[in-house]
Amino acid sequence: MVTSEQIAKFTDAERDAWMASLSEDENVILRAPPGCRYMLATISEVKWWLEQKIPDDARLRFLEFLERQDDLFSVDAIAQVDPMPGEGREIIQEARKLGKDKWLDVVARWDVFGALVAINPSMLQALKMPKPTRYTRAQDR
Amino acid sequence: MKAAAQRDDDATDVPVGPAMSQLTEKQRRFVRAYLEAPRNHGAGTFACRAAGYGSSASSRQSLASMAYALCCDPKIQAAISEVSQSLLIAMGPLAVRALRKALNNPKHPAFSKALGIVMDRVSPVESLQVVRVEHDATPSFRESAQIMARIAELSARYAIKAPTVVEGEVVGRGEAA
Repeated sequence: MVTSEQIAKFTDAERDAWMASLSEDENVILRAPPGCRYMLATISEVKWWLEQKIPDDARLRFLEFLERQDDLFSVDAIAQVDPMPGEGREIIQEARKLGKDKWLDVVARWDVFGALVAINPSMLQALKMPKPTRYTRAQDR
Repeated sequence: MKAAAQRDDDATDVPVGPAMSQLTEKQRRFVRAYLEAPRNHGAGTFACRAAGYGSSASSRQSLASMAYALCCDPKIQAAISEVSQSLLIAMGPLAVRALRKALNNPKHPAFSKALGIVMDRVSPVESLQVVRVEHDATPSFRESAQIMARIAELSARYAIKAPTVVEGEVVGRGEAA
């Protein structure tokens, strides 16, 4: 997979050619805002935690975190995301070592998020789902 | 001045407390004179002169400086506190006499106040205050039930498969909370 550094060094012509060569799924990932990418990875990790034995207060806090993401993703999209498998969690944990200011940027990178999507394809399905609107948010509540 | 010196000579025979015994004789004279000074203003200067500090040519200013330095000494401060306490105790009979004098004369301006003071001590007003402290350690079942219902609602909404826990051990996954 092409890395973000390589993409940054592309000429305009090379970039156009590269974008034309992308599949539909890769285009979805490419056009997703970085915030959506790292938030999906976080949601997936949170859902893994929710499958573990954790105290009820922590469980409620995690669930309320999911509920607060209604401006980025619909309820159906969040429900679509599967818990992050072990390999994906390892990638996120490695990225987290870079510190709170940087790790989300790293997770949102084209190549890193692409790897996470390969591990957990449900995140791509969630990205493809319609974005929430004021109307759908009101319906969800 | 002579009268003060005479009193000091007499006072040397008076037993002193632990704080006073730490001082020199001159310092003790200063402490006694400081408490017996006729006026508040200039008491330090008066006490220095009475205790024999400085000389006959010493100005009031230099005596005042000496008094300030003496009053800053922690040993002198402890002695002043000690002698003040004993003087207060010694003034008890004086207060009782004044109180009796006020009570004996119903036209005395402090008659009613003196009466109040005595009555407060003879038969104090009793009041009963009941302070009830209740501590309810019972868990709020309604609150717990609300939290669990909220967890179940959100888990169902986001398709969370909560683990099944039996006696603290995770025995399986797949049941929604």
